[in-house]
Amino acid sequence: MRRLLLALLLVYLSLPALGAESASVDCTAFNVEAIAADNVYKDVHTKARSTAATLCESIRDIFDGGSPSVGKTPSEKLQQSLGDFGQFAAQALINDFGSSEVIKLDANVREMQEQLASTNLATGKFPEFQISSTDEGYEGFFTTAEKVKKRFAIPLEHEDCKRVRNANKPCKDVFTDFEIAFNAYRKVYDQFVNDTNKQLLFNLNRDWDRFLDVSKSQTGLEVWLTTLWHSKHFKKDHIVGPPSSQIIALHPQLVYEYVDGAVDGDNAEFGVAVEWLGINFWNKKMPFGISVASVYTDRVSVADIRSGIMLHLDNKYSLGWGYRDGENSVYFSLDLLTLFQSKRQQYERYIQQYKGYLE
Amino acid sequence: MFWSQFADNAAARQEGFAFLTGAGVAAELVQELVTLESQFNNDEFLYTHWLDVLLYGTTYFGPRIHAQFAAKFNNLVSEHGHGNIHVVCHSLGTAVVHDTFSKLYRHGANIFDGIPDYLPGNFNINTLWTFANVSRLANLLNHLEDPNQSTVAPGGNGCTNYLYNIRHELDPFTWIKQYKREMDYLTHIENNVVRNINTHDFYEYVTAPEVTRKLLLKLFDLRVAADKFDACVAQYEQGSITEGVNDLKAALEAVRDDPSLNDLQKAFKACKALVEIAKQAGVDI
Repeated sequence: MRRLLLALLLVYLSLPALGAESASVDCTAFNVEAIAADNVYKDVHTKARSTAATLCESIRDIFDGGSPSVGKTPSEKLQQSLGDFGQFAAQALINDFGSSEVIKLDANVREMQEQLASTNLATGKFPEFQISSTDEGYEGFFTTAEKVKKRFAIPLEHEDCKRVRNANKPCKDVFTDFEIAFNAYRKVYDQFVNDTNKQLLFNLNRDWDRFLDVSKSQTGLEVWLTTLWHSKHFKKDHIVGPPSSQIIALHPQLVYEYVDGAVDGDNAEFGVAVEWLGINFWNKKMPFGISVASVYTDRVSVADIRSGIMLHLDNKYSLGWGYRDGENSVYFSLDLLTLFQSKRQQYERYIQQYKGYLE
Repeated sequence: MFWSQFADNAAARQEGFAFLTGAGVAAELVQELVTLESQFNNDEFLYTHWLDVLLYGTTYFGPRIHAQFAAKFNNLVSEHGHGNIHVVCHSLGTAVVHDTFSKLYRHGANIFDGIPDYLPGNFNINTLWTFANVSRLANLLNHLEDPNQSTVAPGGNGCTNYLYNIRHELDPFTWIKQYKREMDYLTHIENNVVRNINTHDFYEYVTAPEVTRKLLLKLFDLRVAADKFDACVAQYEQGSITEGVNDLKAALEAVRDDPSLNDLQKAFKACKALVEIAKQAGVDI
């Protein structure tokens, strides 16, 4: 019997959990938006569009061309395209502001150029230009800057801005034009990463929903112990799904017990059981759990308390065996907590106070 | 968003912990919570927040919240673009945002590795505002990434372009494991004006003139002239409690330096005196 149970346990443990689905890349659906007619950096935008197209094709080639391998370098074409674009954009800003005594952006622009020339698709930095308000005016910077931490100051008004390409625009408008034109090169990258993350996070939340909906009911103590048991999983450096198993501890059950050795009329009785310690694999194809348990029924002819093991199937059905003084008993149970509890409700109530963050 | 959150908070506080009954929590635990609740009815903000921190930091509901918040955040990023996003969080929200972002923005993130993440610097939000930051306090319980070392920071190795950390000198939630990280483009704003004895109150935090000035600047590109700002400060400080605050501050500093029983008693006395002064002044308690 024990061997059979062990074999069953091993089979269930080896069944695979739910897998993740993956996104795909469609470069025909991708299009960089047109730019305003009065944007002073239309040439940068034109270059950005062709770089974006190359970037999209590279992502598609790696992602759809089979199993993507971690750390794979981008194609030479992409490397060339990004390097050329960085040089072109850097030159545009240097030409316009290189001689300015007020707007000193050389160091920032050079770092951007270096980063674009050496980036890689899988794990590389993709510089993005931003302009932000300060008390005195604005400051401009590339978000990926690591070496040049000082952002360059942009005044509210200055002749150096008005002179740019004879457009007579205020500084904020000139740099906003550059921001729109430059950042267009990475739109496809943004879209791909966000779509991929969306799918992966959807899968994780679907798993959490399943866990809250179908797994075995748990007391506060069991929630805490399960969290402790899976602390390594929860401490991973990325967003994780639900635990693969649940700890059972001091869990109350309502049972209907049958003792063969009891006198006629006293064979079957309702009673209560306590699961002392156990584990439930809630997410297997056939969810399975086991615990050490004691059952109490008010008996006339045999002892009231028997101890043994309880088996759980499908997170709902429980079957137990108890033994004392030569008397065996079998029982099935109705999980007391299941009558009252929905873990999802418990969770929803808990986060009620934090709705603001989730809506 | 904030107002509906406040309303929900108030409703949840009124309901208390009774909802846990029959919801999978041991009866003894519920009883303890309810008893604790009845003991603290006059200081509701204290117990609800401390116990929330405990629940968040010690159970798997914390990681569940990370996954849900990350999905919501990802949707906002897709819809509006990361550079247009400003995140404002308060109290336990600072821990939720910190822990989620530190797991989302990962050094070495690979876009093909099947993990939902962003490479720091590549998807920085515009600004992150942390009010009454308890991320280091929650970190004591869940042992996730240390807020002093994590990617929840401004710059090319972080998740945001700017980080503003705002605390009230007399907010007890910021006394333990205070967030003091020093970095470029990380600004600490400290308020010491007491207008409401509940110094943890978000409304009081966000209406402090220096905070409002920065919010207007970063969110709306609006600059407040120096003379108007001075007038705002003067108006804000009207009705504030000054008497008693300095005594409490001195007592608290003594406790922090040397937490002896005598100093603790002095701090409690100063706190009680401040409450009395506030009551007499008609301040909202």
